[in-house]
Amino acid sequence: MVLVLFVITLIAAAMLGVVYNVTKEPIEAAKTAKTTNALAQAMPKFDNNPATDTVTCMIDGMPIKVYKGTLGGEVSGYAVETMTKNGFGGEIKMMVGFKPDGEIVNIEVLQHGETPGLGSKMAEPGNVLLVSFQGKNPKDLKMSVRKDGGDIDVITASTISSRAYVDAVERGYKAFQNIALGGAAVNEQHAAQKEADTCKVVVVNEETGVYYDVEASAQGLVGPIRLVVRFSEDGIINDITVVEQNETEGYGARITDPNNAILASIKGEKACDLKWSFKSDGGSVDGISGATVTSKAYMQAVQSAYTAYQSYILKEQNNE
Amino acid sequence: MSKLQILTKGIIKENPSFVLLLGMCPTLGTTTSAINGMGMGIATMFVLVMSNIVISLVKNLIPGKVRIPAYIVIIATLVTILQLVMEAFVPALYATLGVFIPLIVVNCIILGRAEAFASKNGVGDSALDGLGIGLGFTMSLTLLGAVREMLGAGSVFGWKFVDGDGILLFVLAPGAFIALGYLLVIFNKLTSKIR
Repeated sequence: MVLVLFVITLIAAAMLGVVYNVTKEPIEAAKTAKTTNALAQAMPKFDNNPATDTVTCMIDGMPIKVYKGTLGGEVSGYAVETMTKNGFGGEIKMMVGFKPDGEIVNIEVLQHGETPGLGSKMAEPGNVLLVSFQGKNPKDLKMSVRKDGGDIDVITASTISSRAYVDAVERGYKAFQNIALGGAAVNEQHAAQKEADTCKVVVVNEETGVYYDVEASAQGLVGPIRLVVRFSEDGIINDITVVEQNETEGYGARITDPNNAILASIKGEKACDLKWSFKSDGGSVDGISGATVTSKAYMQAVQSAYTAYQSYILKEQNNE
Repeated sequence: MSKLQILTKGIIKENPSFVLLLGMCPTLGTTTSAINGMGMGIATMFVLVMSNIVISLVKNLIPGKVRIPAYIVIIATLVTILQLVMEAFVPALYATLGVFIPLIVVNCIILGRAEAFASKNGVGDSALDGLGIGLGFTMSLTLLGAVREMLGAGSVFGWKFVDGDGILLFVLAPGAFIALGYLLVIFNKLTSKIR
């Protein structure tokens, strides 16, 4: 009796193993095809493989993936795989395509659990939400539904779903701004990513909460600058301590001052909302006057630290 | 019972949804549109035919006391294989039915046919029985899905014949119960003579 049951389960397990191995590749291929298809639908024309040119950014604790498309070597547009947790039926994931200037090309809903016939309309082509966004630049739009005083039409009887949709698009736009408009081109982010791979992340539990101390370095005017950036759990820059520097006394050396201009401009800010360039170049970081090279290096090191922090959090989430 | 009778009894006389009232969870849950109902029906039919064949083949090897766990292992294996194959080769249908596929394991029609038919009959008859019951299940799910889609969204198989929205209630869960109730009445009225 026991033997028969054992043999049956053994055969069943062996068969499942075989089928799993046979279907593994097609399943992967189908998933990739889905992403590529969504990219082709959402983005302006491209001739590279955007799936290999991506940067992931943490916004509100959610990983948002930005794909870059190029046509003949020129950047043709970006697609942002964004999400929201505010849907009527849980998470909604969508792909938002942007032209390089921020105009929304198209929005493809990848996954949703909204009510069939009501909220599910958000996934249909030509629905009112999509029409409200398509061909417009979010910087000219009030990003909330008309009911809340914004510019976006809602799907009748689906206010919650519509609000969630707007929320996801807004988050996607933030990621787009951060990557595409923030001065830091995707390539520079890649460099930062490489740099970040060598950074050390230390988790600190204190009474006020959990902090992540990330050590990073960059080449300053005179030798390397090493610093430790302390992030709080939601990606806010809590503090920065310079560990090593040999910059010019009175100029670059001011980075060790706890009230220096750079630190003051980014302290307490959410790193993902920051544009990584100087205010004079349209970014959100102040420089120390008379010490541009040092300030740039300092900014680069903080940026590397942030990338390291992001990948650390992502890894941690994947492990969960 | 002739071969033809075995095949056709599942469609009217022993229709699983409208007469036996088995497998109500997928019946009510997946029939938001005709195509979803049909997809669920075909997936269930596949598992039903396969499980009937396998179980009638091994029926003499399984001791009576452990037959139920043995059947469930067989059915669960078949369903998992189906799930993997669907995910690999028909990802669009898998995306719609994905959450309901594992539920086929506990669909009482399948265990019911294994216990009531496949464990007592030969391979050929069991396969026919699975096919017949599966066809009946597919037809009733497609019908229920079509009615709900027609009333709820004004379309059938995605083809829109009324401009604008339908009665949304029929796409939502309560509509499933209402539509099923009326279909039961109509079906039993029409087929009372045949049975």
